[in-house]
Amino acid sequence: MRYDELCETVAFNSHSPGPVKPDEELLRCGFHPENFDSGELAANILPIEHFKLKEPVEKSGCSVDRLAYSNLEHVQKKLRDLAERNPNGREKEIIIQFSCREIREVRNEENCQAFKVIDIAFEHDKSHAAIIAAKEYKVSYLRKLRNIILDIWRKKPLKTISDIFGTETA
Amino acid sequence: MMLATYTDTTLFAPPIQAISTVAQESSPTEMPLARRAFLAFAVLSTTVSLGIQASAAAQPETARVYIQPLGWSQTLNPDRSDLRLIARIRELGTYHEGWDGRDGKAACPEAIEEAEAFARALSLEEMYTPYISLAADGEINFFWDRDGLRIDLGFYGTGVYSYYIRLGNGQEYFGDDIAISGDIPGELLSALQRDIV
Repeated sequence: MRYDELCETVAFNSHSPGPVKPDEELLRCGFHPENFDSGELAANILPIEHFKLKEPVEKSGCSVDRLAYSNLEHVQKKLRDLAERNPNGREKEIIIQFSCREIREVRNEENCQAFKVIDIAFEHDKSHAAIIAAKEYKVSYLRKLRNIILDIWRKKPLKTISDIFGTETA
Repeated sequence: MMLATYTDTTLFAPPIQAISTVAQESSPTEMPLARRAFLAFAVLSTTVSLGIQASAAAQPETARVYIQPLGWSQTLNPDRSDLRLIARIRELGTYHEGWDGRDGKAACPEAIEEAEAFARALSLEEMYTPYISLAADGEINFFWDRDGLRIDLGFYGTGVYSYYIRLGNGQEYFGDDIAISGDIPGELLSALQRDIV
């Protein structure tokens, strides 16, 4: 697949609930202290290489969850599994909630859409979507772009599962 | 005969429970003094001995003179920023493949070496100290974020590094494929100077 073939308007596969709409709310999971620097979100929550298009495309992108197709049990299990892999760096889980539109509105040097948010559903995870660079960029420019997203996310309140789903966690 | 000072650096492995305790620290700047002191002591302990050098021929090239530190005064200063950064980089080097629970890449040995070399090249007494982290793509990331200054710089073990600088006045600089072996670019050094930004 090429960058110009990345499509935001079609369902990825038969497991998909459909393309990601601009007004959809998305979730990015992170952990304290692993993803924090002096109390602020750190750049490592957005790995540069993840923005690049890879083959297969399922391996690409910065993973996010589509709130409309996610649920408490799914996110809870995911966070628990992730935390177990690096317990020292993952004392507390945090969730950033943002809209798809905010990411799609980020512009590049040509005043074009810098990122695409595409549906990449899996059979075991229908809510999965990904943020992918809309074209090939130099690494230094990807650093600039990730800092734009980082600034958007830093303005969001950090949430817990309870905040998102309104239920006490197990 | 001439009087010479031999300096040698020895890596001491701290007990596993000590590594675990140290790894829980989120930032070197948040560590209590005693913890920082221990970290520097455990990771990089240097012994310095004063000896008599008979001649170059009499001193084997592989000779090592180790004298265990007898007191605290014989170890390096744990408050030194460069030692704290190197300890942090080596801590990140202990992360294994899949460390993030997904497909998280471990930092390769070359990335660790490059990050260490860069940390050693910084004159930290005159510069802002970065926050260093490991990203899931295997990048050792150096990040500065203070007083409007933003610098995002990273190593993947490829022999080169890249950076993005945004100054407080909005001016931006980009650097790609900068050789580790070369000089640090002037725009980067300028941005890092405490008295400039």
